[in-house]
Amino acid sequence: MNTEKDQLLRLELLQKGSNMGIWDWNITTGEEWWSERFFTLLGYQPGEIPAKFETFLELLHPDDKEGVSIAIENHLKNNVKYDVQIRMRRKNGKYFWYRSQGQTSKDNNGTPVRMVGSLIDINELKRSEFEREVIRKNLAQFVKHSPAAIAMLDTDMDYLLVSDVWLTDYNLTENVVGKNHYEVFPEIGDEWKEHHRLVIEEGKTLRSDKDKFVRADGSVQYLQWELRPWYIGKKIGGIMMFTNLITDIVKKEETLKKKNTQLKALASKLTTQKNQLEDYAYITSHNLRSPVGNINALLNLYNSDPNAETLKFFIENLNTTTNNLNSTIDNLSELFTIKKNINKRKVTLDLEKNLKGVISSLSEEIKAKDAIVEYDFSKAKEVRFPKVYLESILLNLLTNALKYSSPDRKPHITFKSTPKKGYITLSCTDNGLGINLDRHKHKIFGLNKTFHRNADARGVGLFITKAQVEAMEGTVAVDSVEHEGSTFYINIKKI
Amino acid sequence: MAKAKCVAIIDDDIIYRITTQKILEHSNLTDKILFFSDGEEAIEYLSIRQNRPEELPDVILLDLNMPVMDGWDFLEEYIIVKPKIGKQITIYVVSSSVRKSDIEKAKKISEVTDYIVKPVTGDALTTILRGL
Repeated sequence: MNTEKDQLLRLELLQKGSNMGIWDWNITTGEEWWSERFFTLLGYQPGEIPAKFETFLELLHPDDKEGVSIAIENHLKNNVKYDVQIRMRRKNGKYFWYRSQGQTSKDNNGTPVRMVGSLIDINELKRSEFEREVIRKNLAQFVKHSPAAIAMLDTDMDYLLVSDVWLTDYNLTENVVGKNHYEVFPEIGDEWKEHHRLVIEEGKTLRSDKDKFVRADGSVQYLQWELRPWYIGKKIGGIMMFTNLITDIVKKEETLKKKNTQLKALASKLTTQKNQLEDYAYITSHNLRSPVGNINALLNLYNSDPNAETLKFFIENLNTTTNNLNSTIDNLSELFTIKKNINKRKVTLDLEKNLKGVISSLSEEIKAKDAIVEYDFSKAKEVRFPKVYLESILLNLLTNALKYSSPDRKPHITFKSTPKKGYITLSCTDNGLGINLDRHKHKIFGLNKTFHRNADARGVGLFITKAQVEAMEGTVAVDSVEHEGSTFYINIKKI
Repeated sequence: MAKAKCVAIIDDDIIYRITTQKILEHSNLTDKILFFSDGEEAIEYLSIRQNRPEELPDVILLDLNMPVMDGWDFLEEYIIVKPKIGKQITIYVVSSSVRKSDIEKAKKISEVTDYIVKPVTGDALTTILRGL
C-alpha cells in the first residue's frame, strides 16, 4: 500500500477531496503548478488564468506583498515556517482572506529548488474575528463615552470597562480597568459587599433610588444605583453597575427643606405678632371704650335729672369706672413695656430658687387654702430667661392655681421642668376647678377672659404671661379637664 | 301704647347694667328687667322656663365680652335651645367692640337683629322697644 503509485493517488485524492488549494513552485525555473481547487478558491475555472508566481503576486493585496516576501525570505534563509494570512483578489474583484502555508526542498548544496504549499479560505473566520474586534472596540468606546456612570466588572470585582463619567463622578484620577473595585474604593462597607455577592453569586438585580455613600475623605455622596449580573452563556461573568450621583439634588432638597422650616418659623412668628397686634387693637378699642362709655352713660343720667341723689350715684359709680379704666391702662402699659423689651436680656435662672421666692411671697394664700405646693426641677434645673418675667410667670401660675382651686379638695400644685428639643417646658399642674377647653380653649390666654364666677378673677395673669413668653420666642399651652384640674405649659427656648 | 315688654340684659359690666336700668325705668316702656352677668346664667334661665312664655324676655341685650360663657357661646347655645322655647325673642348684640370682624360675625347670625355699639342711649333703647 505504499508504492510510489499509491502515494501519488493518495495525494491526488487528498487535494481533490479537501478544501485546500495546492501550489507547486519550481524556484529554479520559475515554473508553477496550481491544483484545480486553487483556481476555484479564487473564483476561476481551472486554467482560466496562468498558474505563475507573477499571477499570484498580481492577485495578492498590495498591503500584503511586503509581508509575503519577508515571510518567504525568512523561510528560505532562516528556515522559519512559511505560514501567512493574506488577502487575494478573486475573479469578481473582491479581496478574500486566505491562509497560505508552504515548505521548500533543497538540493545537495542546500539551495532551495522547489516549494510546495497550500491555500485555504479563511474569509468567514477572519470576518467574524474582525466583527468581534470592531464590536469589542466600539463597546468599549460606547461605555467610555456614555453620559452616565457605568462600570463592568468580573466576578472577582476587577474592572473590565468603565465610563469617563464613572471616573469623574467618583474623583478617580487614573483609569481603573484591571484594578479591583475594593482597592479603588477602600471605604466600601460590608453592606455593599453583600449587594455585590447577591449579584455575582445569586444573579440578583438590585437598585436603590437614594443611598448615602461616605467617601474615604469623609465627604458624602448621594446616589441612585442599579447592580445587575452579566452572563457568558448561562454563567454569570460579573457585575454591571449603573450609578447616578444625586448629591446636588439631595443637597438642594435639604437646603430647600431648611429654608422651608425657617420660613415656617418666620410665618408663625408673624402670625403670633399679628395676633398680638389684634389683641392690642381690641384692648384699646374695647377695654378702653367700655369704661369711657360708662362715664358717658352716668353723665347722661345725671344731666337728665340733676339733683343731689343722682350726683351721689354718679360719684359712687364713677369711682368703680375709673378704677377699671386705670387697671386697663396699667395692663396696656405693662404690655407695651413687654413689647418694647422684646430683646430683654436673658440670664441663667435657677428654677428652684425663683419658685421658692414666689412661694414665700404667696405664703399667706397658701396657708389660707391649706395647699400643697411641690416641685421637681431635677430634669432641667435652670432656664435662660429675663428674671422679672420668670418671677411674674411663676407668680401668675401659682396665683391662678390657688385662686381656681376646687372647694371639694385640698389644693395640690406641682411645678415641673422637662427638657425638650431646643426648649425647656415648665409646667404647673393643679387639681383645681379646671377649664372647659371645648368652650374656652381659643381665649384662655386672652385679656379679661375669665372662666369662673370668682369675685377677684380679672383675666390678666395668663394674658401677661403669654405676652412675656412670646416676647422671648416661647409658647404657652394648656391641658385641662373640668372639675379635675389644669396643667399650664410654658415652653422656654434653651438659648 | 303697646303692652310693656320684658327686657333681659346679659352683661358683666355693673355700671352698664345700672345705667341701662335707669334709662329703661325712665322710658316707661318696660315693666320687667332681667339681669344676667354671663351667658351661662341666661341660658340656664331660658332653658328652665322654656314652657313659661310669660316669664321669658321679649328682647335680649347681649354683651359679647363676658366671663364663663361669652356672647358668642351664648348664641351657639341659644340656637340649640331655641326650637324648644315657646316665645319669639329678639336679640340685640350690645358691645363696646367696634371691631369690624365682631360686627360682621354678629350680623351673619340670623338670631341677631342688630349690633349696637356701647354706650347705648335712651333714644336707641326707645327705638328698639317700640319696634317690637
